[in-house]
Amino acid sequence: MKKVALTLMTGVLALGLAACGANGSQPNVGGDANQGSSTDARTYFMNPKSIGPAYWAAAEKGAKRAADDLNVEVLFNAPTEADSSKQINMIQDMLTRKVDGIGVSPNDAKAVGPVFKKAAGQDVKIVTWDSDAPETDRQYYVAPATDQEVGELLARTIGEEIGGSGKVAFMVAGLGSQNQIAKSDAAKAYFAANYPDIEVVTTVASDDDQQKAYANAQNLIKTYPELRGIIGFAGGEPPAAAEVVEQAVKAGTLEKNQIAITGIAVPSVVKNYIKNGTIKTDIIWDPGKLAYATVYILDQLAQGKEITDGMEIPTVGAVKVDGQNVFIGTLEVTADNVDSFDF
Amino acid sequence: MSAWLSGFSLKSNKLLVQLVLLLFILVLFSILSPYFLSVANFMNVLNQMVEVGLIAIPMTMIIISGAMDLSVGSILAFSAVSMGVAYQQGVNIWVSVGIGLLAGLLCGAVNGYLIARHRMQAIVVTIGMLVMLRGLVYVINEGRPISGFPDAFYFLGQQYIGGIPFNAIFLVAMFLLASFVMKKTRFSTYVYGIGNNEEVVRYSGISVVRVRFILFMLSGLFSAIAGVFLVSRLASAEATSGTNIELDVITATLIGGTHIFGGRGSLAGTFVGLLIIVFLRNGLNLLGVSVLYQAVILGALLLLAAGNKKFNGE
Repeated sequence: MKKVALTLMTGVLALGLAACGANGSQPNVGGDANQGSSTDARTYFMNPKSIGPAYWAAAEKGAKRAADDLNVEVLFNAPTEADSSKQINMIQDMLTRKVDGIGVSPNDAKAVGPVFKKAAGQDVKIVTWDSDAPETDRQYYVAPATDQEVGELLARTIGEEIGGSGKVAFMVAGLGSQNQIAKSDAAKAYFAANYPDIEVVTTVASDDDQQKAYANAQNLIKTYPELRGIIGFAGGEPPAAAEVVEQAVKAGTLEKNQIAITGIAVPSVVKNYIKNGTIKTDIIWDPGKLAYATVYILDQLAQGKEITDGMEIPTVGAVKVDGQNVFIGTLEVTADNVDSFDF
Repeated sequence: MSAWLSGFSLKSNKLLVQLVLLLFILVLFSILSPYFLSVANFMNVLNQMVEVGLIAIPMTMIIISGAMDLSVGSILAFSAVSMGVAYQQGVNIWVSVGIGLLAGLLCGAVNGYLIARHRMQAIVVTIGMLVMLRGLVYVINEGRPISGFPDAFYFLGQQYIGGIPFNAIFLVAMFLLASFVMKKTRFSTYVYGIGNNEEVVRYSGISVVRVRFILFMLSGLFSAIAGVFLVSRLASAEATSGTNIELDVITATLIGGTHIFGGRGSLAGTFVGLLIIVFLRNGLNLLGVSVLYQAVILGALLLLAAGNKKFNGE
């Protein structure tokens, strides 16, 4: 009897938590998602690399807005860590839910191949965003610009700031991530072609862990006292580098402006560093618009409409379509415009 | 499979609570989500639970013996990447699989040697291995995923036989085999004995060192097998594979009624515990519940399992 009571209690608890979980995620969902009566509303699954970082939180807002504007249902979910197998399990679960389309930012470009094939077999629309999975069944890739363009832009920015010669270090989120590899390779190639006097001394990876990024930056300035520049290829890296450099300047171990920093970071996170000049230029795109454009394109595909070059996406603007790639454009954040961003 | 499970429940009553909870979860999600109760979804879940399940077999035995292996996720990645690198060097794929399994056995042997022979704390040793092996994995492949395996290899993780995923069939076969070993052989008596009172077992003239050594070797081997199946399922060997998998494995084991201090527990319980966590996660995914709440629910379940004596089958 006690056992039965206990089991009931456990069940009620689980149910309660599930219910509050569903309530918590309700804003993600345009319409009556929890009834499962999605007979008329089109449903899309938006799957970032992980849940937690500010970057993905900003993307979630954009995806929600798209759901409201287009009157569709959007589920935004991912594992708490950037883990490929958990991400793929989640996509598989969503395929059994019979969503109309999936927007995925793959943790591993190759590993999503089989699950994309399965999705394509079920006539589910597939769009990758933020990070691509070429050589799979994905139909489009939504990005701010090509990884090569972003990598070159970062290399050019730092090249100009340090006057074309000196030692530069790269800070990346993950050594295995396709978009990080492509961007850092492009930056290296740009240095080799345009600034032969710039030497890339090392590439350190934080695995998207803020504390690790911070420790990496500390090690960099200790190991390479001659260091002139740091490029951070993901959202957590430039603020970590800037914080470490500022502290070193304060402690007197480093001269102000000896190390130039640029990278990809959300304006709100690097606002202070830009205002006091530790970072001069920061490259960013609006992750919310990226997610918005992804949902919009999924919806167009689900309705059988064409994706054309120069097409106008509401709130995002005109996009450039090149083959299977959709580019929404990048922004340069400087001291002049840093206050104008709301993310 | 349900016939198999009920066969066990008749023999051991303490499984009843877990089974009722599993049933409750199944019924609950069937009502809440129209997509849950379908053959396709169940096969999908079976396909996903294999890696955690394979590692849970030796983990159950190790926890019964009063120890713990936290290095399983890193061993999984180490084996997977060793296999991938071997294949990239032009080694035949099945020989590469053999190399991966050997790598896992070797890691298990190191764990076993330090813990059994030198009587070092299992938690300390395996945390050391967890960190060191993960680092080695990054050294071996420079963090870049390895893919492009031959189609024949994908059979392991992606093929269905008679509508059932091959890897799930393999998992069930392994559970049945291990369950037989843990019920009928003298080895199992030693394992339970060590968990209850190591000294008595030693004074009875039984080599505790050997039993412990075998257990950690088994853990290394099964982690490696899980690694091979994971690579086959995902078509890619990554440096991050298996991160935090030990938490899922231990959660399944504890929800399945194995006592954290050893001496008590069963593989049948672990299997049901495993089903509980995979179906719970799948159902919550289908409902679109954010992973943040999923973690809360799973944690609460574990607290209940560990905290309640009835649940532990006392």
